[in-house]
Amino acid sequence: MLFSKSQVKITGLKLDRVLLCGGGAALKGLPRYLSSGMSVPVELFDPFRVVDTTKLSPEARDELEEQKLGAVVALGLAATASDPAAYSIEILPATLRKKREFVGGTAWLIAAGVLALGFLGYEAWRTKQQLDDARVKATALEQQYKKAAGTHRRAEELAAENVRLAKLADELHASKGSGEQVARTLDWLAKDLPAEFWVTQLTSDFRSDPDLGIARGQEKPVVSVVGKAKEGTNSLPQLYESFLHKLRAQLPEGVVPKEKLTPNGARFTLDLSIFAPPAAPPAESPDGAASKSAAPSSSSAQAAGPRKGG
Amino acid sequence: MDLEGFWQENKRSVLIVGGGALAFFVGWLAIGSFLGNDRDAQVTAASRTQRKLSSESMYSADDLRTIEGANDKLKSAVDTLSGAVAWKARPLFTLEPQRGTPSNQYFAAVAATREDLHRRAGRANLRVPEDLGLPALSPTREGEILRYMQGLDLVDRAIRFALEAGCERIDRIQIQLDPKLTSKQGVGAIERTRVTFNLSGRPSPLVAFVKRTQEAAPAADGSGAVGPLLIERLEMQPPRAKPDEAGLEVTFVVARILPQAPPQE
Repeated sequence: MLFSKSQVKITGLKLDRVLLCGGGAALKGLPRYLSSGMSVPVELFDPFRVVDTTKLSPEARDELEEQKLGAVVALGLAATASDPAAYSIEILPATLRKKREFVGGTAWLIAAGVLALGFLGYEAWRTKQQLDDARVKATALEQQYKKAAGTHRRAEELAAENVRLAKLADELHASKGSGEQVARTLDWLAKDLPAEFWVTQLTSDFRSDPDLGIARGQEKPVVSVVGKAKEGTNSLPQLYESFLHKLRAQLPEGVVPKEKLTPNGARFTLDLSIFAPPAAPPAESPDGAASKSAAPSSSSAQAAGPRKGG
Repeated sequence: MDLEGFWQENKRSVLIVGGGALAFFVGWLAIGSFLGNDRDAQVTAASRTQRKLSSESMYSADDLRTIEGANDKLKSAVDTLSGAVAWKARPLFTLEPQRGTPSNQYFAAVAATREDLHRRAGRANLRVPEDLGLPALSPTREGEILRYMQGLDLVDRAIRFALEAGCERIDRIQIQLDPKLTSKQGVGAIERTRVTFNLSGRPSPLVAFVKRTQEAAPAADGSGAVGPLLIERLEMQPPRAKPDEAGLEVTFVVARILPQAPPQE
């Protein structure tokens, strides 16, 4: 049994049936003895059940029949030689058998293992390289982002502070210049207001005035002048226009007073603030000339002092 | 060859190859697990950061430099303007610890000012309210005393300018501390003590008075009173009963610039 297993190289070989052959198989009672010992059916092998002997002479056939158990080996060798798919039994030295086994299987397995290990090593190395590259890139980007975010945060803080400072500067500027604006207005009136007109009321107050470009919540000092003219005077509108012309020439650039003269020229009102935002540049007429009443566009506050530094 | 026969014949090889494949697969998974996941996480983090960098609108370093430049200019402007706006009291109207208690200094300043101004006003025929705009009940807290003394300094200067301008009547003077001092919001960046004058008389001295308050030249009496005084509100018009005269109500401001911390977010 062990010999059979080692020869066919099937260690788990199952035994279903035993066929006896060879000269010794003819011993009487041997099949029954073996069957009881091996617990499988044991029979004598008749090789001529699968061999056609009809072409032999009757004498040769009888002789072969008598020696049929002993002829199994010769018959088997002949059948093996004629059938390439048949089992063959080799008896080899142990070193040669191990060498053959190594060359035929183990060497390939080792090669496959080495290849697999090499591939895994390469894969690990490649992935590690990619990881290092990605880590370097991620770190660099993170640092770049942190730097950009820090710059942004600092800029936002400064921008917010600038807004606060600009508002404070505006407030301080208006506080500082309010009285100066009144004094200047008094000078302009004393110098340029025609003798036919006189002032009946002069006020200065911090207030909003959309007509002057001063929005609600951003109150600025505004001087308001109310005046009258002598009745019966000719050319009041021309005199008034002349006064306005002189006044505008003395106002900082961009400051446009709000004024109104009654149709009969007997009463006028004038509101002005040198702290008002500069007026928008005039829209040019088709012939390229600016409209008559428009004012230049630069800051009105530059003449009186610093405004928003930003 | 059936499957059973193949298995019987190649069992060892199949087991070795299968075991090797399993070991390879486990190794491959281990590499993916230990290195690949880290790599993917880093790539994802890098992509996310890159996306944030490109999608978020942020100030650049150039913007920051521009804003810093603007900030410097604004600070400089605010410093300059603060210096011009903040009230600079004369020594008599400041509190000095070595001159005694605040109350005593207050009474001394009020007495000296009242005596000098009324004497000068009497000579110049200028009518001046007896109280000089001070409260009937003298302040007791140091902060209030200091503010009323600064208001008194402004009253002193304005009356001296009125004397120079030839004004006839100061009908009323009122010193009013900043109402926001008692509010929860506080006074903000500028604390304003308002001093309101009501004057009447011929128009030209009133106009001269207003213009004199805006001049920086010191008063001619050697008192050290200088302008300009900050005007918050002014109204000048003739009274109904006397069309040849004018009435002037002007509110001056004693400003204190308070340091402000930037608002916390």
